[in-house]
Amino acid sequence: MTTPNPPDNRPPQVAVTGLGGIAAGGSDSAELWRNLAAGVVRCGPVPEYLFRTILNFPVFAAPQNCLSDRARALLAETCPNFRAESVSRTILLTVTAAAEALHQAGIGAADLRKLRVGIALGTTVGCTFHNEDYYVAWRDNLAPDLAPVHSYLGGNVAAALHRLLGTRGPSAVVTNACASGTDAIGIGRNWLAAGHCDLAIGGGADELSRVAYNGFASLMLADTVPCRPFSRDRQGLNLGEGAGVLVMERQESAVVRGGKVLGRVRGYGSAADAHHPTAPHPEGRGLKTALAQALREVGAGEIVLVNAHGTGTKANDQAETAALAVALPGAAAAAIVSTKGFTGHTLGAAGGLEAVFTLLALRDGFTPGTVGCGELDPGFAVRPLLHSEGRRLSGRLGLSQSLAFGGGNSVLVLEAVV
Amino acid sequence: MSNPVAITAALRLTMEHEIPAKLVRELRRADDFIRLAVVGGFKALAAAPPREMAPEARGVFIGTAFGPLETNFQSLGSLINDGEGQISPTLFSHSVYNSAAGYAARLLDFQGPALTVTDYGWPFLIALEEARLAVASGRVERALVLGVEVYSELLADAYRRSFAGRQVPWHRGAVVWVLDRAAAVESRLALLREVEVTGVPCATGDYLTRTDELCRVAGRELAPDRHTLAAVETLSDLVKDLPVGTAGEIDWVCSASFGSASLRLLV
Repeated sequence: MTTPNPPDNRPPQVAVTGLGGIAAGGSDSAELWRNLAAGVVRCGPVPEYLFRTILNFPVFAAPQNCLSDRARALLAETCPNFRAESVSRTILLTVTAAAEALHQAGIGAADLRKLRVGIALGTTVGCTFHNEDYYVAWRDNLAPDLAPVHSYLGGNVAAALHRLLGTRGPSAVVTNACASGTDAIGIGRNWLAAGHCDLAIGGGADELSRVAYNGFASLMLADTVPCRPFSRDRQGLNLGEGAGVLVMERQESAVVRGGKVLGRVRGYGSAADAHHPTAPHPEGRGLKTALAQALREVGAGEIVLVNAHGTGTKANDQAETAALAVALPGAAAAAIVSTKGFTGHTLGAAGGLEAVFTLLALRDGFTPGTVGCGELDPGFAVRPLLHSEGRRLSGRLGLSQSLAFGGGNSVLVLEAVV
Repeated sequence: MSNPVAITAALRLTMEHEIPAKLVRELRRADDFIRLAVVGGFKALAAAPPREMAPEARGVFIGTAFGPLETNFQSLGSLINDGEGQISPTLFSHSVYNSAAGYAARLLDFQGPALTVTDYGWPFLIALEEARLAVASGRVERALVLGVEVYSELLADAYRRSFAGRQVPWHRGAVVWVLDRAAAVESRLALLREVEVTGVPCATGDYLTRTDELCRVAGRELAPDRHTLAAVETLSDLVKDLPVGTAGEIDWVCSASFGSASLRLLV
């Protein structure tokens, strides 16, 4: 293991050396980014390969075959007996994103075996037992075959990825609802800073589930047409599925091994609203605290992009813009966007995917506007970008932020290195 | 910068606990998972040294293997019985794993991080290390760390059918610790050094039986009861009841087919 801290006791810089993603809009981060920039929206009825429903809330479904060729090739080396049908769709999405990120980082199967690899992943659906057939049979005293229970016990996403990659090191599945992916990247950063691992895979993954779909419907938070974050006429969210992952290393280690540094995680903050079981604090109290924590190293004035949570619900978008107006006093200078009109709300995956989008926008010096937003809500204290308002970015620092059920708020400060 | 971290309260809780009067109304709709977390937190904070600090300097860290599993099944049952779009909103929101952290943050006024992690091995210890790092790095002054398990009847049935009618070894309960920045408190149970948890692949049933789980402390072997919280319950008792005058380092290690865990205490 390398020395955790530089001699002057400053926390080590945490570099991003790989990005990976999969969602409705594409099967890897390059395709996702291309389609986001082009405003391609793949939102429609729930496909039958996921589940049947009589409800009419559209979703953003990832491709039916969500295990990429690159992921299959990696698993052929690390887990030769792997069978895709033996794991959950959430795990398949995770492996696809992780394989892309590791490939980009130049980390192969042999490297993984030599390193202490930390895996921190966020999920919501991926940690639950939602096998309806089993549940109904059990309730009817039919003593169903126990395979679904064992599948559930083998379904911890971080433990499963360790198992499939043959890696050893710290492991955490973050279940902070919609902020899980952001927190998981923050945890990976903290592990690297503390010297707990040599390389960290951080992000999130979630598949679409009938229970979550119905749950959001019953909470009256889902929209019957593609969502319109920050719009005057927004009516709620659409669920989506996917995975987004960063490969992180201490900058010194990445440079020594010849890895290309794509960016850095420059800050992380997390704070509770302590306000209501499901609704955000109306003024974004916890988000303001999380922003202040995350911005301890970087000045608010240096931020040129905010990838907001921007779900398209009335309460979220109001609270989030209220907090940004206070925490980023120069917010007029930063481009504020939501990408959920492109991915849907992917729950535990959202923070991972949005961190990927933030870094890609900062790399290219350009952000697309907010997909789905045609006319802004005039009541906001800051002005997010309309869909038609893609913007050139004049700096390399941005925020990716997430708000969650239960009042959780998490923020990453990300920097692109070009 | 790394601040020494003190353990200032450690307790365990079962479902026989009494809900403090000031929480009864707030917890009337809560499930057992949430109740254990909030009441456990309330009692642990009452046992910790009083400190004045901003609510933003206090964080909640919860580790669980199975989360609010019974509520998850009630939510599923509501979908099956009542039909699409009819899941009880309260059941659904309480079936989300971090609902307990949200309740605890709100009712105990913790406005720093509220983190929930899940793992089938030693989830409390994973949450404990995240809490320790948060205090050591100065992100929070005080951390409330909880391990909470409520299991479910479905899981109990699976256990009995998998293991030839063996009696289910677990009980609903919680382990709760309070961590503080050491320099800020005059009394403490012990200082907490690094916590390390490493998982290894195993047969999935091992997470339920835990038959080879073995803990060692100061050269003594302890075979905890066979459930997720058992090892950390014994650890919690050890920390709480360290003999007066004890000094030095105490290493606690635990091993099982699903990995190993260790931590170092300084007393």
